[in-house]
Formats: sequence, C-alpha cells, structure tokens
Amino acid sequence: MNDFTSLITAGGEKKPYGMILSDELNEAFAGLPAVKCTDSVFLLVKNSGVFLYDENAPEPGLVDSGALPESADLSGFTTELSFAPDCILPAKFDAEALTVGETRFPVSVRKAAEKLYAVLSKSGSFLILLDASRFLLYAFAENKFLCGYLEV
Amino acid sequence: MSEERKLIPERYEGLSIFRPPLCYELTGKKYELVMDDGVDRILEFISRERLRFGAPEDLRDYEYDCLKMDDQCYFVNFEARPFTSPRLGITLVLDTRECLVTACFASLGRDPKFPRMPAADLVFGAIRRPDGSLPPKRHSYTADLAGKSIDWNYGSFNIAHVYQTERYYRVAFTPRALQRIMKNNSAMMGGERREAPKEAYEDYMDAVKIRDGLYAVSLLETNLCRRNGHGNNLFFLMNLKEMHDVGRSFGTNGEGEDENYTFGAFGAWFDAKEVMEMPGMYYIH
Repeated sequence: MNDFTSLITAGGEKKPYGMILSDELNEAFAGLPAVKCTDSVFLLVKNSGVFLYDENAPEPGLVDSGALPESADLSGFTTELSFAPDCILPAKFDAEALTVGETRFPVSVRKAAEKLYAVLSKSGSFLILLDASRFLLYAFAENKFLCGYLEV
Repeated sequence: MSEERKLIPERYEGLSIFRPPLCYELTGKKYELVMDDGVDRILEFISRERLRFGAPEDLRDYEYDCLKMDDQCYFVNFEARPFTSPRLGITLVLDTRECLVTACFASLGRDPKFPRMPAADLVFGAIRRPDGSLPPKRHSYTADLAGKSIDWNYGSFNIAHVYQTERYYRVAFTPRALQRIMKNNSAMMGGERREAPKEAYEDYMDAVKIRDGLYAVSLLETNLCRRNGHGNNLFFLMNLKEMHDVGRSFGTNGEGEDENYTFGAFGAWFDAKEVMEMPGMYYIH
C-alpha cells in the first residue's frame, strides 16, 4: 500500500470503490485492461503504463497520459473527494500539488478533453482522471482501477 | 495567497450527475428473451442509441441507455417517446454470462383514483443460448437485504434506503445528508420544524438476486403519491462488492412533468437501527 492508497482507504480499513472493466475496446486493443471514464474516453494499461483513448479525438489512438498538454485549470480549486465508503477527504489543488487531507502530493495536471483532467503523481504512485462535468474520479494506483467522486 | 476556487459541475437531469458512462458493448447484438409471462421477446441493439424490442409480431424501436455493472451484466432502460398515456417504461437486467434476464415493466396512468400512481411488475426469463438451449434457473426474489441499510450518494443528494423486510423499505438520512439538505433546501426539512418524525415512511419493495453481491431492487412511492399526488418507481442494479449502483427513475418530477432517466450512486453501509425500530406509518406488521 502506498501513501495515496493508504490515505484514501483510511489506512486500508475501507475497501475502495472498484471499477468494472470495459470490453468495448477488445477488438482494437486485445488483452489490455481498460475502463470507461466518459461516453468516449477510456483508460488502458499497457506495459505498466496508463494510456488514454478518446474515440472522439481527431486521430484516435493510445495517448500516454504524460504526453497530454499541461493545464493550470485546477490550480486553486478546493473540494472534497472520496474513493471509499465513509472516507471523504478535503482536497486542494495548487500550481504544483494536490493536497488530500494533510498530505501533499506533487502532481502535474494535464488536460485530456473538455472538462476532463489527468492528475499525475510525480512519484508515479497514482493517476486520477477527473471528470469536472460529472464530478467523477477514475484512478489507477497499485495496479488497480478505482473510482470515486467529488462532493457536489 | 492564491484565491480558493470551487469546481462547478454541469447540470444534469434529476439525480443523474453521478451516472457512469454509457456502455456500447451490446451494439449489434441480438437476443431472444424467453420470459416467464409467456411472451417471448426479441431484443436487438441496432446502434449505440437505438434498440428494437418486443414480441416478434410487435417489434418497436426505442432510444436506450445501457449501463454495465459487472462482467457481462447490463442495465438497459427505454420507453416510447414522446411519452404515451398510459405510460410503459421497460428496464432489463441482462446477464449475458448466465443467459438470464429480469425485466421491470413500470407503468403510470392506470390508477383511476391517482393518475400519477406508479406500478411495477417484475418478470423473470432466460436468454436463448446460441445452441438453442435455455438455462433451467432464474434470477430470484431474495431476503438477503432484509434488515440492512445503505446510504446512497447521488451527487446532489444522499438518502439511505432501509431494506426493512423482503417486501417493504423505509428511508433515512445520515447526519451528513441532513446537513446537505439543510444547506441546499431547508424547505425540504419542513421549514422551521425541528422534531424528528415519530413514524417511518414505508413503501413496497422487491429485491432480486442477480449474482453473488449483485441485486436488482424495485422501490415504489405509492404512499408518497397518495400524499402528494405523484410518486415514482425507482429500479436499481446494485453491485455490493464495489458499493455502487445504477438505476432509473420512472414517473414524474417535482414540477409534474413526466420523467424517465438513468443515474448512478456510491453506497456506504448505514446503521439504521433507529428507523427500523420505529412504528411504520402505513402497514400492519
């Protein structure tokens, strides 16, 4: 368990909300675990890396999450997030980090699509796809897909 | 010091903000549903947006939502638009791994005294396998949830469903949910009234076991309808291994307009002992 997964699960006491794998991309990307995050965007795992696939992109293909354009849109935002039942934590973005509870995680924030952001931990311990239109969260940490939400 | 900013989500119908992405896995697939009401039906997913459904001699096209809740297990919701009178909403829980189906047929406009009284009938059935065979078993009514309660977070609203018995449910609000309601809409709390109710709201429920940890639940708001003139049928597919659900609300909204939309929620087990021990408002138990 790393610092992030320990924090969002109250030290491992709470089982996180899990995700169901999608079979929609089985033909195009056989054997790659994938989850669906919006009606057209997926997260896939390939060779231990996490990639995005956007059906609506001008040239759809696997995009390395680290290659997405950087964004400052979330800097200054405060919210509460939850990845597990009964574990709701304050969260705040600044220019270089995401602070969850009392723990500061250096991150880079990248824009995946309109109102959709990839939050990449600089230590590589997690990736969060933040859907700012529905306040839904999709994370990949410790080789598992998790989902969660922001308090509306 | 940087200015604190708040995220503002988009506006979505009713309680649907946390609805997960639509699932298009069934596009192009066609099934024969052998239903226990004696009416076999064809279900064909013509495109990502439209399906064809009905008895072979009465096939109709509908726009639909499909949501995936487990491996090869889907929640499919549709209704004729524009809405008919009386209305008929159809929701299918399709288990393509086990070749089983549970259908919820919801109706509105059949009650001569209460025109907006919802009703819901569950019909079990099987999906014919490619080799022509049918599974011998069906999804079944279950007592697994009786005595338990889950607080569901729909994004804009939290409510705890208290599965009082196999056939009746109650509602409750956690302290956090009450705080949110007070903050967002004090009118819903009865304005200045501060006393907690002494009897619990109660209504009809059906709970069906789909698989281990996966349940379909139908809740009716018949007593709400008698009190306020309108009430809905809520039908859910709950994954209690992952503690989230999808569902749909069929009926009318607070403005009296017809509604039928899908939604999603995140759940947490809730100790509703106090509500369970209250006398119920409507039924002799």
